[in-house]
Amino acid sequence: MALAAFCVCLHGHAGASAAVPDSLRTKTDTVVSGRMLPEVTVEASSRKADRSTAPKFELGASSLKAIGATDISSALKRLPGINLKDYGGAGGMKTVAVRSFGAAHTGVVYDGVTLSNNRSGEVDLSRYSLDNVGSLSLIIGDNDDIFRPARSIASASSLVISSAPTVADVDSLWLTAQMRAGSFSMLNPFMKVGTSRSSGLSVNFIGEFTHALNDYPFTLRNGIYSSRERRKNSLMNSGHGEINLTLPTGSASSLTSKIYYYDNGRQLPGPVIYYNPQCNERLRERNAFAQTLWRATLSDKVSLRITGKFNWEASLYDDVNGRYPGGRLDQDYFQREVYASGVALWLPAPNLAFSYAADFAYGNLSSNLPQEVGPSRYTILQALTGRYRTGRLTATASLLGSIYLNRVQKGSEARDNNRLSPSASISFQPIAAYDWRLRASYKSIFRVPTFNESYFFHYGSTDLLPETTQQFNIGTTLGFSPARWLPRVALTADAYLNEIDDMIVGVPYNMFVWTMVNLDKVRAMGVDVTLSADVRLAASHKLEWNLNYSYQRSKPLTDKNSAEYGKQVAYIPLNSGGGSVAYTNPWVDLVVKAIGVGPRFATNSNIPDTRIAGYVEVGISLRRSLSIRGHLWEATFDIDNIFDKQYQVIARYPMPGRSWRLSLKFQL
Amino acid sequence: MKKIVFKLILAALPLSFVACSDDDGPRPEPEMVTVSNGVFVVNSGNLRSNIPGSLTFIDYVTGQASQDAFKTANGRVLGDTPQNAVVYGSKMYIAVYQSNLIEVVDRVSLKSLKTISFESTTGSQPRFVLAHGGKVYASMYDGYVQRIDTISLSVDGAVKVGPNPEEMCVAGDYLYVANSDGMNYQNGYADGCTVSKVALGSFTEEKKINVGVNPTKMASNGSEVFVLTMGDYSEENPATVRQIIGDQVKAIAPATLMAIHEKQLYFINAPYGAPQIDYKVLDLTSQSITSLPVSGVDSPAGIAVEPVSGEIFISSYEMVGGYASYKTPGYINQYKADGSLVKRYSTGVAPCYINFNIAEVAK
Repeated sequence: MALAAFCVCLHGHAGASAAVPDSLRTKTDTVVSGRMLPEVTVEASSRKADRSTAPKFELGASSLKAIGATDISSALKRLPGINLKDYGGAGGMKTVAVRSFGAAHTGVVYDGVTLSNNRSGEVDLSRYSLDNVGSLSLIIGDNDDIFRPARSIASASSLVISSAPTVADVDSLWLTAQMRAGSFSMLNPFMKVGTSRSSGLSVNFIGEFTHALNDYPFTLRNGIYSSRERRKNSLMNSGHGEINLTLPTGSASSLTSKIYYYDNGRQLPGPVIYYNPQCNERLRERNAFAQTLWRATLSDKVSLRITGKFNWEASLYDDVNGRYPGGRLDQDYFQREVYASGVALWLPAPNLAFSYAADFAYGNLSSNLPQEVGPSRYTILQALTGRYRTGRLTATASLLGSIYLNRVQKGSEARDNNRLSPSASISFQPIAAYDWRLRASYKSIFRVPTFNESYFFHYGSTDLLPETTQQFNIGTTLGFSPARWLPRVALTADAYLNEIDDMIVGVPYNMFVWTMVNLDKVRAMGVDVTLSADVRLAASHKLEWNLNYSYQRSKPLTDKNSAEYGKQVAYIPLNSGGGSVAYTNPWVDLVVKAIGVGPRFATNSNIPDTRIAGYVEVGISLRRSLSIRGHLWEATFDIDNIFDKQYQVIARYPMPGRSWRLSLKFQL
Repeated sequence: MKKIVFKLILAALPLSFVACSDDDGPRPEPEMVTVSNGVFVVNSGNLRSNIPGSLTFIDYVTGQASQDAFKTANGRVLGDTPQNAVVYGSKMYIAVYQSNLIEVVDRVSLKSLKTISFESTTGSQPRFVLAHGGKVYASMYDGYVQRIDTISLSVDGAVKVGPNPEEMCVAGDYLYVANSDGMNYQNGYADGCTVSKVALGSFTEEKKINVGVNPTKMASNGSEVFVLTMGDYSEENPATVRQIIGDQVKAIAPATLMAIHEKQLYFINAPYGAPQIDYKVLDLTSQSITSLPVSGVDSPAGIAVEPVSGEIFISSYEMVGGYASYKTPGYINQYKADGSLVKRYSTGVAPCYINFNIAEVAK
């Protein structure tokens, strides 16, 4: 799918490089013998079938428009195989689990660096606003992009978020300013300002702020009754700022750096509790990091990529309730991490590529909890990958060696882990004349227990083993242009078998005290299908169709004699999918979109009372751009959930009904 | 549910005949007798897994367990994490902790008569209710005991105890309240080593008796008082049943659950990770402890003794992969007083409390 029609600038701005798939990079690297290309418009690839050896679903800037994505969650829902856990509203946590693996198995790569959260293992994606996202892609297993840090292949799948590239004239100051307002008292100003010099130097600054009351109404069903309620204690104020700098360091190398700060203070409405609307929980999350990435083409055979990052995160939780000592609970966590990665890409022959990646990370956690053990972790990852590629065949194999060393300031430390994890993938074009490919991939990987799972007072266990996963995928991709009025049809279909063993779950000591053990085993089989097509109605009248469908049968296989054996794993729908059609025309662009999710259960044993009804959510999006005195103005109006469907993704966390938002964007 | 109600009425009818048939001669004070026609199991459910709390009713006449009895009678769920219930007079009072309310229902029809919710600063989040002398006492997790008048069904007094009071019992003119400090586990339940002794007459806390770490359960037969301290889940501080004698406390035996019936204290010791579960009886007259040959329980959640028949009921979680599951429906076993199994009934999820549909009727 669409590597998008946006311009790819290899020595561009921070982050854009991460958006460029290696398939393209290597091509350009090889073709121009190590010289940096200025700007390449990759139109052609959007008509080709996906060449990726493992499933890769990408939403580039134009696709994000074509599917009518209004926020990060509406975009993620359109990626097949994803189980998005959405707690509702602008302040609701959103995590991504892929193909029945828990969210901690999904690596989130932001502008080239894999984010980490040693404490919970999960990354909350609600913090990324689409305004600054250039592309969003999901890679399941390892594909043929081999010029990647070792950490980005240390998880079962990766969600790659890349900042929007800036397209502007050289040696000018440019500015994008946007104001958005929406339902439930949402206000969201956004600004991006920067300059690019002909020397290759470019710098930009991003600032955004979101205020939202999130007090949306919902229907609470209770037996034969239903009542109209409102989310309470749900206010959010969130700010985010970034400075990005790109510095040419030679004719074939460049340095991109980013300084990032995020600060989100919100009330947590919590789950809906029957008959009790009282809730006082609050959470403030702060994150600051600085990262730098140096890319160099040393010769036409060797490229290098060096990354460094320092990350600081604070999670400050409090709750006011008479049941706590002193009437208040304060839990403050602080995490720090230093990360360094080096990747070398070696192209010894035209069809052959090897990469070696070595990553090092040191992270620690402190908190105000009296029983805090002060854990820290050293992570050393090395990956050796080989790729053979001809016009019709691509094959890759890689081996990842992981070393995780755990330390604590007091008490006993969690087990250390050393493992080798293999993966392999292949893509083949059976008939040269047809843009039709077959692909197969395998990956074995694991995740180590989080600090919470290992050390949280009473609940944690230092004896835990990693959760292990196995993934098998076979698929096909097809692209063709059947007619002048139908210039592009692209299809992907994948079937998979996923297994997870030694899943870490909480088991009770008693009602109050739980502990973590390696217990559950799950096997999932599924199918993911995507179809996209362009229909040319007339000159400058175009329809773009995008459809995705997933079937997922996910069985708990922990205990043959238990009530949950062979049922459907909690929160995994058997059927889910989405569809959209974008009508592009000279007047007002229109997108109509829908997402459908089948019924799910909140329990592995599929107790009827815990069934969560399926839903179909429909939205529309209208967009109009105008050029006034050489400046671009763009107005967007969205209505989400136009039929006001009442639904839940997570039980007890109702989602908003009908809502609207209006955005006005100005470009200098 | 209509069927059940009908059966309950049927079951109660012979009792009323008995009560009314003896009309000859002078009419002395009628001698009261306790009758019982079934078992209520309070299932706390699991809020995180979207399982509301529920009530299971086991009917002695039909020998059947009906699930979701409150929802069947009222068309709506009971609420989130109910903890216990008490039958008193014609009503039953159910403490629904996370929904922050006490549900008052007719003990036969189970129709809700009043829902008492708590917003005051003198106590919210009810954990345990008991009835005595025309009042219902409710321990509130934020550190109070509230007194509810059973005629007006409204709160008519409160006393500060705590922190985090759990079970209570009455002996003589005193209410004993276990102060668990359960929310302070990070500090080793530092303030949770006491039982509050509350004078019923003045409804004031007379003293706090030191009993051991994390007391959660209380039992009394009206004269002797027992408290179960859960400890801090370490080997040095195991869960222990203790007797309160005056202001002194005497450790009896390791135990995690208990129930009292006349001169017998039944207790279960099922600490985490222990390979076996011990069932024992303390005879309060002879002070001797004997084993009870109970079998067929995976992970006990509650124990109670039927006041009329002396039969023992033990509820349990189901096991998944060798561990008690708090997300799947559990069950309850009925045993004769000698420990032999009579019958197993299924329950809702997390059957944490057992009580009986009893009534005092004239003999």
